[in-house]
Amino acid sequence: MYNDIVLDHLSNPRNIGVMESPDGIGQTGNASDGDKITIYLKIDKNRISDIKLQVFGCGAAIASGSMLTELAFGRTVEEAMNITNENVAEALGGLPQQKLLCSNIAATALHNAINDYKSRCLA
Amino acid sequence: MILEREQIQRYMRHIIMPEIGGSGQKKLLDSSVLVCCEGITGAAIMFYYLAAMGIAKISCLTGNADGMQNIIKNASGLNPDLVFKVIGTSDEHKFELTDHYDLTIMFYESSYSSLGIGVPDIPVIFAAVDGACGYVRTAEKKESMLDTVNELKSFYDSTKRPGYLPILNEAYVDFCCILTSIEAVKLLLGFDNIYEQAFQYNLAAYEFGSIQIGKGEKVPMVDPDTARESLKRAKVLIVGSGGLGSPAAYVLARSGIGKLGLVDYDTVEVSNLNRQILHSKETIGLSKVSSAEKYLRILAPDIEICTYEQKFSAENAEALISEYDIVIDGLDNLPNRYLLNDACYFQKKPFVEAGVLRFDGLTTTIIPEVSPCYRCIFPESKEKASVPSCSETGVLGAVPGIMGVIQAIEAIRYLTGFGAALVNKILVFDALNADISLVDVYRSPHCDLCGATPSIKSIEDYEFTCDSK
Repeated sequence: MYNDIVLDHLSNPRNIGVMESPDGIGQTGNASDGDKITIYLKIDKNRISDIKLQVFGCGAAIASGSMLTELAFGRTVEEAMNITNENVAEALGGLPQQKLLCSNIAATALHNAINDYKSRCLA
Repeated sequence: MILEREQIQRYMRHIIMPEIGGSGQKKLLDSSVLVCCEGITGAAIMFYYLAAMGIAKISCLTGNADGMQNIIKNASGLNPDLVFKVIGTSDEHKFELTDHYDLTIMFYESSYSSLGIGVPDIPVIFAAVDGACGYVRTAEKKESMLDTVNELKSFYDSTKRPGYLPILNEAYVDFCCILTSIEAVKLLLGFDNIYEQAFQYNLAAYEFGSIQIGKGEKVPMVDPDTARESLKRAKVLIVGSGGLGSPAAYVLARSGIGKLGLVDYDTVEVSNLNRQILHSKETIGLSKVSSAEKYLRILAPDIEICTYEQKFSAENAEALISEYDIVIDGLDNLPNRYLLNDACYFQKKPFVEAGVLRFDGLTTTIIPEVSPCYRCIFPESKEKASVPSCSETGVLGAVPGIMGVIQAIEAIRYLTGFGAALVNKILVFDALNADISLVDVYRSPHCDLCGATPSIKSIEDYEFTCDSK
């Protein structure tokens, strides 16, 4: 069902972990729904200097989260805000039809993390 | 890629669990385990689950290597990467184990001195069975070894053993084997909550924990010959030939029952092999019931096997269960559980329910009008909630192994008149926290099926909804 890029990312997801003092935390989904993802960001001079991921869910959700961290790393806050679920699915070389929804939570979690960062800046 | 494509697919149910992941699975595949046992056939199911969960280097030091060809074949069928060495011991030789092993398992079936080998290298898992009682303890330090040996001595010296049904001997050995395989995986992956202190249990009384067992002599209520005769006439239907159905069928086939019915409309896939011990790499693509039948005919040539390559539905449920004495739930989805529950209720058939997910399992025996039915315990939610399944959330291969064995034990107890014990009780198995406990459950007066004013008068089809996928 999954291509090699997806298999690679789901069996060896990048940037897994938590961050001690993140500049932004974004979460979406919940374990009882089946998919849950948390993104931690470190922002330096408006760029994502570090990104960490915790993901719980099906293979597509894990692969999407992992790919998302690769797409977001090093980007400016604005660029990261523009990363979409479609970008993630495309970078993965496509996901099976019934799994497309699983990729949705990755970008959402990233945007939540950025919004969290922005609200901390205002404080 | 950290693992080969085929390996990722085989261990998908493990890899998607954050506690294991691809890296944990790779660790298991790189691990080597030595199992010391009295006879290789007694520990067979331990090898199957160790192999199925991914351990690719297994050595067996045994006093009786009879049956090893078949065991190696079955284990390799579950794990094509497996390198399985069997070394026979004899009373005259003292073996120097020069290979390095990541883990040694000492498995005792009759006495603490039955293995006749010297003290192994740590870490060691000591596992022992005596009738329905069992002992598991993991020694990571040399200091705890002496303690453990003393405990093993008193485990076997216990003169008072509670009564149990000898027909269940092999099933009780199987339970201990599978529990040990889970402990092995936890140790190799560095999980917390391993059995640093001894874990003792009595499977006849369903008592678990570091308890004082062996108190009080209870004579079995059923004469073993009568029990054997009852089983020869018995017919058991297993709905689902997967993670739960495989171990349940494995145990039942060897217990001497007359007829086994297997229902499954699915075909064998590579991702089944982390837990579905009746199937193998060679049967991928075959229907699960054919694959299961092939395996069982070798395991138990005298048993009558009836396969139904059908989707369990409202159309066939009643006809399927009607000619059987008891049903075992090996389904992989929730809606069909309600269907099975209702069908059994209307025909007044007992069934042994079980469910697993990730590292947890639960099981209970449902006897219509006597115990709570499935709906009493788990009322159907009217919301179209998505229910995570093992394919979405993962499952540790040996967890359905444990639950399937208990399901079979309950069925055998019921059929022999010894009495199913998990009636009005749910046995909850938590592998991560190393906990097995019992929860009391009661019939619900509000139950839609068997309550005071039931609203369900006949079986209906249940839509499997999964709104987020």
